[in-house]
Amino acid sequence: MERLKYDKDNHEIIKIKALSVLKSGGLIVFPTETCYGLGADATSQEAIDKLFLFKTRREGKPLSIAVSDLDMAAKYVEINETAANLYQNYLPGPITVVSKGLGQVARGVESEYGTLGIRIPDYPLITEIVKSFGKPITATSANVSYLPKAYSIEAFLKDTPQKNLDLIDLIIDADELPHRETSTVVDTTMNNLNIMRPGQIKLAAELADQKAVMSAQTTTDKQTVDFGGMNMLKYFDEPLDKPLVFFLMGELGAGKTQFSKGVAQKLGIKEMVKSPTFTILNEYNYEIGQRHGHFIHVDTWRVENIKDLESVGLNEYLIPGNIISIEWADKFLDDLREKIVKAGGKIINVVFTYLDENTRSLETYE
Amino acid sequence: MNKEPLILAIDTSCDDTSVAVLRGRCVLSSVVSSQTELHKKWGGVVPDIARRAHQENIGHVYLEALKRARVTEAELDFIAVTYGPGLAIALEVGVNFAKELVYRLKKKLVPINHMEGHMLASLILNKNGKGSVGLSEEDSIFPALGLLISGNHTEIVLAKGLGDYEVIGETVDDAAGEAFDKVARMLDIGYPGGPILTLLAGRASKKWSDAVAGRGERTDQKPLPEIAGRFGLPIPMMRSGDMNFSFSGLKTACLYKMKDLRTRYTKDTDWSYDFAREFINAISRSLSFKLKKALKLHPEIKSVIIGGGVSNNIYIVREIGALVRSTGKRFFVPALKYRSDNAGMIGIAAYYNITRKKYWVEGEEILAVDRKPMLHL
Repeated sequence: MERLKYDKDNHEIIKIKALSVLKSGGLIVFPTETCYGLGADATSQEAIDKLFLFKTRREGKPLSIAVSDLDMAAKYVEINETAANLYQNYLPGPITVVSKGLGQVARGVESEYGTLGIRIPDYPLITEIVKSFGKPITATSANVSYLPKAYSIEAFLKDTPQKNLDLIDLIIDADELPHRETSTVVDTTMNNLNIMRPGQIKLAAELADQKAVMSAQTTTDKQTVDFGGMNMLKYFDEPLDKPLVFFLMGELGAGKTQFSKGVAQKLGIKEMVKSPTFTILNEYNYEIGQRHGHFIHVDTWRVENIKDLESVGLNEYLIPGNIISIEWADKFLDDLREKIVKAGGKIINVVFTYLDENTRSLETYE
Repeated sequence: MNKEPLILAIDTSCDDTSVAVLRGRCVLSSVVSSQTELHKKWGGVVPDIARRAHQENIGHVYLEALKRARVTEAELDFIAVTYGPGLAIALEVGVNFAKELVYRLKKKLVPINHMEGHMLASLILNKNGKGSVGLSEEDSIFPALGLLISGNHTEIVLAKGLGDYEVIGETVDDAAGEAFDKVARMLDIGYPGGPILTLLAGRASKKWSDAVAGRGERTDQKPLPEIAGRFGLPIPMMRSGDMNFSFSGLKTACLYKMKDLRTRYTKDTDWSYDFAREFINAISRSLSFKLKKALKLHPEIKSVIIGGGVSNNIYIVREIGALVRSTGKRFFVPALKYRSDNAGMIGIAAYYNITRKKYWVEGEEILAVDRKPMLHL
């Protein structure tokens, strides 16, 4: 194990030494803008196995990797719009950007779900080393699993058992680092716009030559709630022999939850109808005279796969008497339609559009 | 037999599979499955994956929690489990696992409301009996107000005493944590929104941070009390007259403001740092405004207890803390690892349910315990 003190004068020497260690499948301890990191060639199985040996226990936690720039990142992960935005605007910096991996790294680097976390450290020496190396290196923290993160080499040497230290080939010592928290992890694989667009485009085309059965321009939440109530009233008798399903489609904050509140109000539901984003599906009981059933409020915002809607019990709710309102239904337009038609349900499409800051246009199509 | 009960607590209400072991109020071990931690950090909550992950994890998380606490399952006195609120199919895994344990080991079952866990997380003591509320000191902190803020909840709870709770204010639409996620989506900076928006807010210009925090000279015209700062983001529900929250209007205001800013600036970073700071300000002002109202209405309370994942946000805790201290009440924030969902808080809630004899012994009572996804406090 070699330990080199980093200062401006030996910048080049350190780079050369680090590159030679990385090329031979070795491990380096390096400074970042957060804590000390542990680097190995992310594409070499031998190097990664050695790194796992050092970390001791992994419990299936994926490693993150450091790249020099967006171009290098794009060789290892799918860069969607969210990821591109982060790379262009917020990196380098203490952020780990999680994307779908392309399977170009050694086993154990990507998560078991095939995602990969990428860092561009705000530490020029490191990005230069990675750039010259031409491949990503691991950017995991330089500590044995469950031991404290290292902000100085002294602490690192003190905290790490000798047999683990023996695996390290080079330490780049930049003295005590400022005690900044480890990087913030953000997932960009959620709400992939790509899965929304086909549904939106298809629906827009279908509705283009149809006439809305109901429409309103609303400027307050209350008006949107009322429009929901009017819709419920119009289709009040439908659930007698088939499930009634409202497909609610429109931008964030366009009033989909308000509309659902209106539906619930008309059904005499006293409970507070809140956004189901977190729980995906909320169930309420309604009873009006002899009629009773469930009002089911669904939000697909956090759902990636139609199967997930099945696993929260959507299918079981598709029975006569029930009224279902599904926010972001366009995300799974075809799948949902098929499911509902099969269950003999009636679908009402409600489209929310912004006209300006205070005005929304709401249109109902059958 | 004067010994404190040995409690095993399970929480599977959402992403994490967590199991903790407590001796009385002391957490001996608290294990959060790293596989689901990974799933939360790296994949978001996908119900089917959540269920599968819980099912795969719960067995080994259970064993690990026993091992780290250095106890055997035979020694346990009570099995506590979250039965709501939460994701139905995730709750189910924990409830079934707990029932099986209870039958197999012939233990007593303590069903726990997840929100009571958040409410009482500040009462947790560590292995050595240390914590912010000392032994037999708990009666001195009630009546108390709880401010419970998470991805799914935003509520003010009046706790007249242990086990005596009343929700006196809550969100009428989105939860605070949800607002963070959705505004992060608009900024296109990934999920979850809380940590990344907080990181961006940390880079806000000093002039701007000072202005929204009410320090230093204001550079723009003096903002109206309903406005969180220069961008004009509204502080929600200032005139509602009650103690309810609403973050849906703020979300829409953010969307519009961003559309406007994007036409006026070339890069998001020209404004996004200050914007993130102001957004957090709008949330924390709304929380503190309503809490202040609750404090005025309930002068008898002795302390304010905060809980839930959003209480990880330093700006929010700072503002709420300052408000509470200015009123001379005591302020409690759980230790970092007990703010987001964890089983330690389920264990502490169970401890107080046990002291009130709220647990089940009979087979039929146990059988009747079922998940309640929309359970209220």
